[in-house]
Amino acid sequence: MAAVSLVPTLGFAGMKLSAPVSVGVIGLGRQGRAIIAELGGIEGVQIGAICDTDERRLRAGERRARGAKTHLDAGLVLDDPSIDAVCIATPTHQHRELAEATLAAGKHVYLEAPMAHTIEDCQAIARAARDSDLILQPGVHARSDPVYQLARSFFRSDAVRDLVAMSAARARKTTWRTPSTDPQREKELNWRLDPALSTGLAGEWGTHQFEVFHWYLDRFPVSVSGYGDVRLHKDGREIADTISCALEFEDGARLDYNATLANSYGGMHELFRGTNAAIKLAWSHGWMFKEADAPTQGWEVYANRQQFHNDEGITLIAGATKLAEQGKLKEGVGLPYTPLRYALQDFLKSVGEGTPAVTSAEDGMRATIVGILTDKAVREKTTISIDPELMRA
Amino acid sequence: MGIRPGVDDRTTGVSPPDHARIEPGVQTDNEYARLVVDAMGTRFEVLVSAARDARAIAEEAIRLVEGCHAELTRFEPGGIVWRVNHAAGESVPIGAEIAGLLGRCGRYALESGNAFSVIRRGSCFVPMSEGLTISDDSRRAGLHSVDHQLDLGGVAKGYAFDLVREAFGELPFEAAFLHGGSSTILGIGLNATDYRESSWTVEIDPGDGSPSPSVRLIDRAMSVSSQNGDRPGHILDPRTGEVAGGVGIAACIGESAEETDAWSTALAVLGERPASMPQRLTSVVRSQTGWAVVGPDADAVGLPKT
Repeated sequence: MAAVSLVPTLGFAGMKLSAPVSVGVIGLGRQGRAIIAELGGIEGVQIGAICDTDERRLRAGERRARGAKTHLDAGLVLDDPSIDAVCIATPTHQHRELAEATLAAGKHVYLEAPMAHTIEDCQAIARAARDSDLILQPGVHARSDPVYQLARSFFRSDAVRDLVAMSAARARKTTWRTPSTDPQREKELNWRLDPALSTGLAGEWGTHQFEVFHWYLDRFPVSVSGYGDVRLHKDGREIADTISCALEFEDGARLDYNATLANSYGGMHELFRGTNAAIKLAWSHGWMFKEADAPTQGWEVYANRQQFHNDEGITLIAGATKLAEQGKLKEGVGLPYTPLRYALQDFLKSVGEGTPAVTSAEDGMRATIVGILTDKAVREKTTISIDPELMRA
Repeated sequence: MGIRPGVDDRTTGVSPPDHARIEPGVQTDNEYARLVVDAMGTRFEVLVSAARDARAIAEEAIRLVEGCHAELTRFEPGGIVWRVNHAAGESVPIGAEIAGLLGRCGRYALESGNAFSVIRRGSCFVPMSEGLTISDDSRRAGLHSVDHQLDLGGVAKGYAFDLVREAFGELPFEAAFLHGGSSTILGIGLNATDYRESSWTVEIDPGDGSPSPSVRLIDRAMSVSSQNGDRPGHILDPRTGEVAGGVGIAACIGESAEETDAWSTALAVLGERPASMPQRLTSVVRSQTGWAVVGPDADAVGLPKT
């Protein structure tokens, strides 16, 4: 089967904002520090303030955000009139309060996903965003990812033809546990393992991937079945470390979703199977696997042949003619930036230009609600109907 | 070439790498975790001993190493080094962390009289100032021409270990030992202040069959550079573009693994410790007249008897 690598044409010099934007970052754990690192590479962005309730993390963040004010109290970031926008990277269950307060303070919001740990909080955040004149972009990256944009254009152009099956997975062998020298602090840090606060693998991981299918299909699942268990990390936790779910759509299409903390094989990917081809997406890369009886398309002329597993495939690079002239076809494979960078760039572009967010609060709300309900199905080992009303903006 | 990690400490209970020496019968209630990851073109090993959650602590180190690999590798897109190298001589935006790293590399180059560099031209290293420009506000970096390449391989492992050390500051571990390709190591924890009481013991393998010096480490990093071993002649002198003719092997001991990485290379190029080398670092250099050890941790180095 032919493998076609989907790679957009991209510059390496990065984006430059038309007008400077001052950004605050609240929550300086792993994701918050990643946001700081990406913001630091975008011209026109000033990290005006950073905030964490943990002094040590604040100091670590300070070294990475030159010139930023440092606060232990998020309210001080929101009260700062020089801050235009705030990135919220706190634990999920703290999102609603901070997002609503940030919007109330007249600042744009980049809100890490999942948006919240309850459906009620999701809806409240989406309502608050809708009722304001401000941008709230949830931290699901697919719509900003050039690989996913390009792949979607193929998907929507009938290259896949009739969709027959979908699957997605995320696998990483890890404890999902964050130790600390302070027991109270450790409890706070391990909110993902707290049944009362966590949305489990389906919510914390699956939300990002479910949004891909919502976007590609323009529809949402109507029911979800789930199963999960603690297969490896038998340390007293209740949150399953391995889950298997089936999300069904109204037309009978089905998305199988698997996630595990017990094995790393396969990483994170989504797969669309059609009668003409399959598209596999893995965030920085994408491939199309064509069937032997699929019609040849014009762009294949420019494709680069490569060995892909046991098959000799062709690599597609958008702008391939230009790259081929430069002898750089192979160098075009893979994104020069992380998906997070593209999402932040889109957010800042929307803030600077006053245009709607590429990924709306409603998009994030729907994906998060599906994640929450999938987690509920996993916990209860049952099938849950998804009320279409929940998917309405 | 490189370092033979060994553990002969009786109090930590940290199990050693497979190839290390350890006396039998060590008993401990501590948890022990050993994780391995391939990154930066070599193999990293992380050993952690902790009363609990040893694996979770070791995972943090692995995550940081993988993150540094993604950001600093020359060979895969997605990181800053790849972007700088593919910008066709134009400058690209850099964040504060990378700006800091490049700034420090410039300092290592300056202090070592350009015996250390992170800029390649073809297969040779050249002085940093001849190939890389960082903007005055440290927000952009760019190569002087498409012939130049940024190669942080000389400090990337150490940079990663410094991040690990920082992160471990808030983790409840007792002892940890990390090495990258057996040429950069970090031994931290042990709750000891005297290396004679409790320490990580490693051997510097000259790679030519001659006796090995041993080094006892407490909260220290050590890096080794050698022309011997698997890739003889791989150390190039940025000042001449030729194979460095300084010494067969050199090591550097200090708190910052990034700094010991840079200086072990510079020492191998120079062949002797320069007066400009920071006093906080300990140098271990084998010259034609034998081993020379200079620096605050000199007492922790046991030289082979001649």
